[in-house]
Amino acid sequence: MKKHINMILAVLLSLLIVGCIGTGTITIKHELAEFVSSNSGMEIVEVDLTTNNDYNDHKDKIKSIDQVTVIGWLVNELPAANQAQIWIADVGTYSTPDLVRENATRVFVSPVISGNDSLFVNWADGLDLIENLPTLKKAAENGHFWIYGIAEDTPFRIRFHVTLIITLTAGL
Amino acid sequence: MKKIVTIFLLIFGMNSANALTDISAGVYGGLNVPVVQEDTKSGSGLGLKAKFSPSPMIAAVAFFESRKFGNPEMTIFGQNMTLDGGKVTSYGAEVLLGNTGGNPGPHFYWALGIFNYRWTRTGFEDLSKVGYHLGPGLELIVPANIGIEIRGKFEIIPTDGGGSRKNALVYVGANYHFGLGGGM
Repeated sequence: MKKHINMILAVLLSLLIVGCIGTGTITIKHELAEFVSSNSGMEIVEVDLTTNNDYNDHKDKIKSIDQVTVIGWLVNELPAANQAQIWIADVGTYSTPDLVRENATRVFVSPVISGNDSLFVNWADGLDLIENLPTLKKAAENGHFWIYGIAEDTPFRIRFHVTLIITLTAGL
Repeated sequence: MKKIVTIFLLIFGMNSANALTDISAGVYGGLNVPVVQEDTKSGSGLGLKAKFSPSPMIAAVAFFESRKFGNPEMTIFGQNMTLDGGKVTSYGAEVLLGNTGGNPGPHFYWALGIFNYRWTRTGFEDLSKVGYHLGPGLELIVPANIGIEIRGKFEIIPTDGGGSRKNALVYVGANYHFGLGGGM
């Protein structure tokens, strides 16, 4: 009797482990090409996550996007202090900061960056600076969206060199 | 919570209180190892438990655990950075099948459990879900009514979207048996 119980439970444990390891939580880094955005020459960056091998390996088996954040360097290239902002939209047609503010979704606001100074946003800080996370998660799940780099005050000229960190649960 | 209470009622319904073969209480601690989770690292955990054995072959356990995960690391742009691994509190019940009495000697068993899992982590929404675990254990009870126990658990916490979080736990603990005897 005891042998049978042990055998059944050992088989059950094996099945549970093998079955459950069918999904895992993966952290994907997607570096964006460095860009400079100003109020007179706003930069729009297309994000196509299918160009990322790690994302591509799992895109058809995504169960959930668990977290998205932004880390990297932000450089304020004007003398006045300012806050860098990242907005996203599912189109890349908004040509001015005002159109972006009217139509896109703000997902990131940096702390104040002194004039002609830079700021490095690390992993933990980036989590605190994210806004509208559900929209950002949905964009990451779709895998294709546009990023607009602007700032709180005008005029602005900000250099963005950032990486998106996407944590997702997917089939393996 | 209803499921946990139901498990207790079912086990106690199997036998009268007079037939109890063992009651024990104990503390334990050990490793908390995330399985296929790149956003966490191994940590440690502590727990308390109380065991009731209505027969030498089956027991019910209520437990409470406080655990933590290690902080994951990442290097980007030449900068090494970490993230909070977070803390977990879990409480629940499990059924032990096997040799669950309180007599001196080795006692091997399997545990099947259900528990409430709450993971609190800086920068993340709290994860609060019902989880399940399964794993073997071995307790060596000495005549002084003290038991030294080692056990493993594989737990799964289903998450939204059809995925899950999985952890492997290895614990060592000590239990005090209240002298009811019985067992195999």
